[in-house]
Amino acid sequence: MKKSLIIILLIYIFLPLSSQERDKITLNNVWAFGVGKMELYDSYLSPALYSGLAYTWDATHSAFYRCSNQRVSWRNHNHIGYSSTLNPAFSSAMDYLELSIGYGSYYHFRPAKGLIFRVGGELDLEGGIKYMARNINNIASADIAINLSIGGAARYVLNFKNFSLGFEYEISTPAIGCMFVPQMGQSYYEIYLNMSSTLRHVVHFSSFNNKRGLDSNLMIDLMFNGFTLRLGGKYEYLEWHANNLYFSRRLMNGYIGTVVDLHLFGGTQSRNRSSMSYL
Amino acid sequence: MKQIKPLLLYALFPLLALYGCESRALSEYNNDPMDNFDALWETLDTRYCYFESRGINWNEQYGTYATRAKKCKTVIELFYVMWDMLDVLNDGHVNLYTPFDVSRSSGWYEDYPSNFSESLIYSDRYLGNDYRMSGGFHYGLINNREIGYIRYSSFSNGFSSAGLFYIDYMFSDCKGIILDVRNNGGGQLDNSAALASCFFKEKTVTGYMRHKTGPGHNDFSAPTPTYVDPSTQRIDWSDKKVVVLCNRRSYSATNDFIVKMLMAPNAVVMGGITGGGGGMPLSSELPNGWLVRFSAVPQYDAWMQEIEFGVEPQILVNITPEDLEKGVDTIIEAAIEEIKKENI
Repeated sequence: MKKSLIIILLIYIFLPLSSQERDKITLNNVWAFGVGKMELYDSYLSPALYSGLAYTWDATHSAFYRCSNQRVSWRNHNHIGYSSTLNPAFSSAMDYLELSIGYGSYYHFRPAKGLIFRVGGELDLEGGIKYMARNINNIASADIAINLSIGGAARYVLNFKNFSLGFEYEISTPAIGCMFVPQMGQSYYEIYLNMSSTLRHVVHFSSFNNKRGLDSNLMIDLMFNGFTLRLGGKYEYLEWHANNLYFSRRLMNGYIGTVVDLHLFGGTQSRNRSSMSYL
Repeated sequence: MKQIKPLLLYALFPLLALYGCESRALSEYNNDPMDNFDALWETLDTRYCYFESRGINWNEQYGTYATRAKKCKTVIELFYVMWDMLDVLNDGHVNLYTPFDVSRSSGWYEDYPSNFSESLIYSDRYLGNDYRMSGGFHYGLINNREIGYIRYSSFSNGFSSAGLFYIDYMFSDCKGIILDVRNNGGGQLDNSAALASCFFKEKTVTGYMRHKTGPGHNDFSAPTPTYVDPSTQRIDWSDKKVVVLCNRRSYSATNDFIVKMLMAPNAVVMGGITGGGGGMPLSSELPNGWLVRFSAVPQYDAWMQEIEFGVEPQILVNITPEDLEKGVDTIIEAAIEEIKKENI
């Protein structure tokens, strides 16, 4: 079982590499842990705004589709977050667990030396559950959505003798997708009992009319010889509504992580600074 | 540069639109007495499901009680004004929970015969002291070990298939089963459906439920059926004679269970009228953190009749004061007779 899981995970991460040239492939990996403040609003559970500590873990893998044409890259982003929040009166708690997996493609522009812009889109599968132990029957609320997000980033790298400094600002917004929102007074028990007939009322097309959001990241990469430390700040705001229910999520956090380039198939010759950290 | 400017404007437009709408999702109430009162009134106004059935003009209540709420000087005074307003609904599923008290509706069971005495059930005439316990069940053999008796005091307490197997084994030679859900104030509907499924031969529509789809008092979804499905339960008591005992305090999920059992092929419901509570409650909260519970999902029987106000048993029996004095539970005795009658 454990072996199967590892194999599936490896296929999942490295599948996009199959279309790449089998030389000088550099897989850029970022792992980051963040702590910050989360604000949650879920009118299915409560009319109050809950806020508290949030912990996040992000793993991002990216590479160019072709090393000979370093214009188009793919990216896989995996996110897990946990928040423990309280209402303004500190009389009730809401726990929030969120998971998301996304795949995207980006086009890269290089208008000046050391400066790079990239724009593109990402398809995200998001799942989350909010849990309020104090509530009666409506103790939990599920966030399930598929989004096509559009976004871009600007990155500037300053090179010193044995050290490089990278600055990056990334921004994205959900553009189109679908999401799960129960009807206003509907219990999950009822959804469970009548899944087939209920489905058309709880699955909604989403776009700027009913789902708006902004996910922005400011990152600083301290690139030493063989080691890159990433420091960053994240501001994420997302609000959505359907069936007379309103939801929002605001995350402000700081994170620390590491950036690792894996040079695949090309051996030591491929270490020519072709990774996304530099270009 | 000329080309870039419009591009930048296009890029900024969605962001400006985003921040223009941000405040919509945030709480509109502050934590002052009138805001808390307004939040309570509005929560009920938009989400409570029985204004029409109970014939209540909720706007009128606002006028009456907001005047009193404005004069409140302490949170305790405010709480009692809110309690009075909620009491107008006369609904056992409506409660306001605060750190110092919980409001509850009065009159829905006090004006009815209690039809229940715990000391009688656990007297030597019936269960005695040597009863068995399995999950939420207290069970044993009564009336010279001829009849199986199960006391189920709360649908919040679950039970297992293994437990039901042991009960089935113990009751295998019994003439019938008495299932006592008097004073059972409810709990989980799952348990109601699971227990009822032991007494059905085939999948049966036993009722319907609807839910609010909008803030209007009549904004309801189309009814969706609820079923009892015996294939989900490995115990089959559908051929046994079963008498289900209920009283006015058989409420909420127990009321739902009685509605189901009225359709079971070999079951008879006996005792007093149930308490109702057909609306599945949901909860919300006020800006000051108080929790409010309210009926939100109305349920109906298989003929789309309201079950909110209680369900009549098939055989109406009240405990008489004379029997009570003699240590006899009139309803259990009638149930024993009912089972014996079938076995003559």
